[in-house]
Amino acid sequence: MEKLLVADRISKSFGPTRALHDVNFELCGGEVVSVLGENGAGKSTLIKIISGVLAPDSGTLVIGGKPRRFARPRDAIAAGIAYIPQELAVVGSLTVAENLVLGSWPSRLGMTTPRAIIRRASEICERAQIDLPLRQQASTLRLGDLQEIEITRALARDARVILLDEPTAALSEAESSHLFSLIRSLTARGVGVIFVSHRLEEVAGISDRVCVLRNGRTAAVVDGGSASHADLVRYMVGDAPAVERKPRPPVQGPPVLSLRGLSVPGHAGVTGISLDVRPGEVVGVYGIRGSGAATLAECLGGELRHQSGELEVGGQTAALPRSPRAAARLGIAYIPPDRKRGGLFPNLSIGANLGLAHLRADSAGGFLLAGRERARAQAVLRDFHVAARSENQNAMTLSGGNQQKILVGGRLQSARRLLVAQEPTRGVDIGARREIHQHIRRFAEAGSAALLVTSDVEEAVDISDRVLVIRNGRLVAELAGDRLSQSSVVAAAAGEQGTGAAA
Amino acid sequence: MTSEPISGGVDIMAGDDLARQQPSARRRTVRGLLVRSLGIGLFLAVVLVYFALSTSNFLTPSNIADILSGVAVLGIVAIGQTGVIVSGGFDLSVAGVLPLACVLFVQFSNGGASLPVALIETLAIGAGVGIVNAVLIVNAGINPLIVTLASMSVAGGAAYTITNGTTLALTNVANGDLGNLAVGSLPWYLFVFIALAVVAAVIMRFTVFGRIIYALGGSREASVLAGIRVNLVITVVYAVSGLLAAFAGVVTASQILAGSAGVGSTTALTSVAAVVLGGAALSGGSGGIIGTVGGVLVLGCLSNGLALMQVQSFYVQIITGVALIVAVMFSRLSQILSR
Ligand SMILES: Nc1ncnc2c1ncn2[C@@H]1O[C@H](COP(=O)(O)OP(=O)(O)OP(=O)(O)O)[C@@H](O)[C@H]1O
Ligand SMILES: [Mg+2]
Repeated sequence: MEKLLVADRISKSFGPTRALHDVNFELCGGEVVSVLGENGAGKSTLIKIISGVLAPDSGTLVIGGKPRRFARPRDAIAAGIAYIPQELAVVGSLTVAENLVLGSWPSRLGMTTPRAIIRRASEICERAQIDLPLRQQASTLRLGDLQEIEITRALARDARVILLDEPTAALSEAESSHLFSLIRSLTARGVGVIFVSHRLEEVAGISDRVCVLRNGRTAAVVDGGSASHADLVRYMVGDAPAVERKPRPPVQGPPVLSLRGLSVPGHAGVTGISLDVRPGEVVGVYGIRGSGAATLAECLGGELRHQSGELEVGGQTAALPRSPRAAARLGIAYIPPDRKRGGLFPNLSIGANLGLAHLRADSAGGFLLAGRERARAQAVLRDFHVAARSENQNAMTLSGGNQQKILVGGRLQSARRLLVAQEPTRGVDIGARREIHQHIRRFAEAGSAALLVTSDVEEAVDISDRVLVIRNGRLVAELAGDRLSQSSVVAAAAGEQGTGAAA
Repeated sequence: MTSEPISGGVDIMAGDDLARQQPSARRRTVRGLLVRSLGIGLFLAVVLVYFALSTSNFLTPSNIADILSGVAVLGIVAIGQTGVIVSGGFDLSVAGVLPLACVLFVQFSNGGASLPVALIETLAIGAGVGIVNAVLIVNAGINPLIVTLASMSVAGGAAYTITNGTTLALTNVANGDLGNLAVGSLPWYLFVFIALAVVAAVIMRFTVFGRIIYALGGSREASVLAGIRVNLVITVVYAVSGLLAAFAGVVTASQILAGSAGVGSTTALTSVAAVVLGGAALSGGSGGIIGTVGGVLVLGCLSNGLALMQVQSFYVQIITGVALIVAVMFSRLSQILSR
């Protein structure tokens, strides 16, 4: 088959960090090649070099038989390469339609009209078989919708090579499989796709070949169908760790938090949700996108204003938190789903990011005690095995997964009673995911509690003592013990009959 | 699946059947436009009604002509400022370019240059200042506020150096005739201002270049990734702003028939104020020419109306400041209501 792209001995360093070291890579037309690797292995760096965002220190790129050097994304786009970044690049102030045609406006002699833009956008959606609210401002959408805009936009360009950096991290199962059928229809036309994901099942299912990176080097290139999960994990981390799920005894005792009749009006709202979280317990909350599961988390995190219901925290009635500050005062720490929007300050150092929640404890008479802040940051870096040079490094320069570890580590430090985590392992590798899970469990076992809102069924089932399922804004099932399994959770969320009792 | 490429070279503007699928698109666009400029429109109406009721000679034809002629210079500068602010930038240098252009135009004219030559030379220098701004912002990565603060100071200082602090009378009689060019009581530059506003509004709204400016102001990173020539666009936007400020300087010279380094020193902040009054966010990505024109008119009516009411000039400053806040709140409110 025709070779669309050959990367030959690519190297790239960021200061002392060697992100890529003599990496070779090939992509043929009609092929899906997945790139696997732990957080910080260099996956995004490789993708960015191919898409012209970064220039390699050494090595060559051969596109369509010709050696190329891309100075900027524009050159790569002209060479038929479409890049969908891990950290989304959607213009929030524009409408969805304008985002879809960004960079390729429908025009005649440089003129365009809002009407023509809408028309072109709806045409793009139609061809990609995706339904998007074209007139809505992009900043009002949720992360998954934004992702969909980007994918649709790339599909709209006549690209020969499509680079997807963790596209499914924010998508629900149904949306992911929709994406996969799109990818297959593209490869059927001879387009080559490079796909980055931490989800091994996805990778095994879609890939013709898998390229595994470890510490910036090519650890292995294997056929998609032939490699077992255990093999892939071994290539990624060096040796295969055991995975097992221990049954846990049910938790008793007075609740840390009890919520009665919570209702939030509006899109993806909830109606009459009541739940108790007991000390030592991890409660999973699962629901497909738009079900209201995310809204529940946002409400407890103090991000919403218009909710009603009764709340008891530590045995005392309390007002529902209407600001993050109020939530913190109740002892609730909230991990938002999107580290870029609400989680981290990308321009601050790791130390400053972690210190922000503890300014009072870390200061005396208004002066910051740098030593305390440093110790706090170093503890997180150590406990979570963050691949960072020091706590002075900018949070922005960490790989996506390492940023997530910083976010989770920091919030766990400041949680007193309850941790409310929304998608805490989005975009992190298997090792880090397990570490984050262990930390959340350990946090709960130390006498606090955690409410884990996730769209990842496996995660919900693995880590939780019981899982609450939300559908159309209502609590429809509570699954624990023998009744708790991935299939029972998915079935309840999808609204199948005869799955456990409604709560 | 068809074998068609995802995005073929189909000219969708020609597709009549597609037009039928979106019957209300045009109506919606027009309504969106109205709602967005509603804030400043309402505010302007309030100001007009107030002055019409409280003074007898506010709504007379001659006073209206006065207001319109009075705002033209600020309006021309504010058009350029709109492009800069929507693209996510900031241009203070207009307050240096305007007096420099005023002085240079007189200097060139007195040196014997014909009107077109003097005009083109002056405008080129204004655009040049804009290009220098853009190069420093894009290539050296310096914040626009700092860059244009510095070039405002340099250009303004250059104007004082040329005049040595005095006022240069315009002695080239042919070029001085420009000052008398008028249709009835409406001076020529008012028509230029209106024409510029119409052209700019069309560019901002109905051209690819205009859409790029909005995208750039919304997210520079996303624009780069979409393959937009961001640096080029920034350069053009600042060059146009410099050019329009220089043109405002020429207009000023024709008004006072002299070159003075003391003119236009407040245009940096008033032009920004007009753009913000018109609904733009200083962070970029929103705003527009129609709003800006509304903002310019509000500022013009306030200073004219308050002068008619014989309010002392330092109160005018205070009232203008308060009005800025109130008007911005008006436009926020109408934006929220339009969602
Ligand atoms: N701009 C930068 N400055 C400094 N270091 C960087 C920069 N970008 C990446 N790095 C470093 O290069 C290494 C590779 O990062 P990269 O983003 O490619 O990892 P990744 O495999 O995509 O990880 P993840 O799965 O977490 O997204 C990391 O150690 C990261 O900290
Ligand atoms: Mg990455």
